[in-house]
Amino acid sequence: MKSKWEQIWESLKDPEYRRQFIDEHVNVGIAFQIRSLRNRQRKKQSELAEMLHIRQPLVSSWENPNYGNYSLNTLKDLAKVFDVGLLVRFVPFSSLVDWEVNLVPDMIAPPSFSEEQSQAASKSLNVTSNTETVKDIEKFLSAAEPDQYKFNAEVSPHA
Amino acid sequence: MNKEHIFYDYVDQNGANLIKGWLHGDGKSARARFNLIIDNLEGSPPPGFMGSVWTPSYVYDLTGDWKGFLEIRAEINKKEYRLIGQRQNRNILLITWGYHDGKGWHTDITPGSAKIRVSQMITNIGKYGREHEI
Repeated sequence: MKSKWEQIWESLKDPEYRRQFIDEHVNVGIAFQIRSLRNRQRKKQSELAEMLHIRQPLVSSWENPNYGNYSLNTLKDLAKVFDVGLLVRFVPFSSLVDWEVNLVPDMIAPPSFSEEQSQAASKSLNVTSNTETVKDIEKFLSAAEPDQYKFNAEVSPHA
Repeated sequence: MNKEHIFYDYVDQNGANLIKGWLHGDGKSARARFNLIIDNLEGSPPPGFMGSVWTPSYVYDLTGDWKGFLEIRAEINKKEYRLIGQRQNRNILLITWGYHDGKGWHTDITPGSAKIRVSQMITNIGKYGREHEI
């Protein structure tokens, strides 16, 4: 059986499906992203509407995969409110297929800048604590009998 | 890459993928939208988890005789196409389709037949199910 990537690629050989695929990649993808981002950031539709100075039913429409009428300005405003990046580029079809095949929650609702920043900070803390652990082990080994933990290069662990 | 969910299509006893057959036939104009919705749902957390989207307008829980089933809707040129299935934990079993033409809801099978298809898929997914085909 063909992989999902191969199946999509095969379908894209039909120009009509290719055109629909671009439309739906934007329409469906954006609708899912808006709803997922709003959920992730625990915002109500009414709160999002208030932040954007629009009415709540419009937010509801944006979250509908059958809406399909987004303007670039709307997307830029949403990126600002959610504090996430926005990428609008012409790309090869293989990039679109890669995106579809590999969709996971963090791609649908990416972390905001502040979330990314705190994730980066906690990663850096982990590096520090790992460094401390290595130092502790070195201290322990140096206090032990000199040859007790010495690596014997002549003995292969797989022998 | 591990998906959050997997969609399966119903396959009849002759080995024909009925869902794929419909999406390439009468449901052709909704095919790309359904496939993209399925991709996004497969990558979305289950109901109750942060960021979950297993709610309208992505997935609708059916009521009445169809209680226990869910549907995905795609409106194309004022005609609403629907794919109907049932959730079994992280697996979604797609068993039939239908459409709404503004006046009423139309499908070829009864809720009873739909339930039979689900039980066939649950008991023998190797024979009656196939991972959703584009």
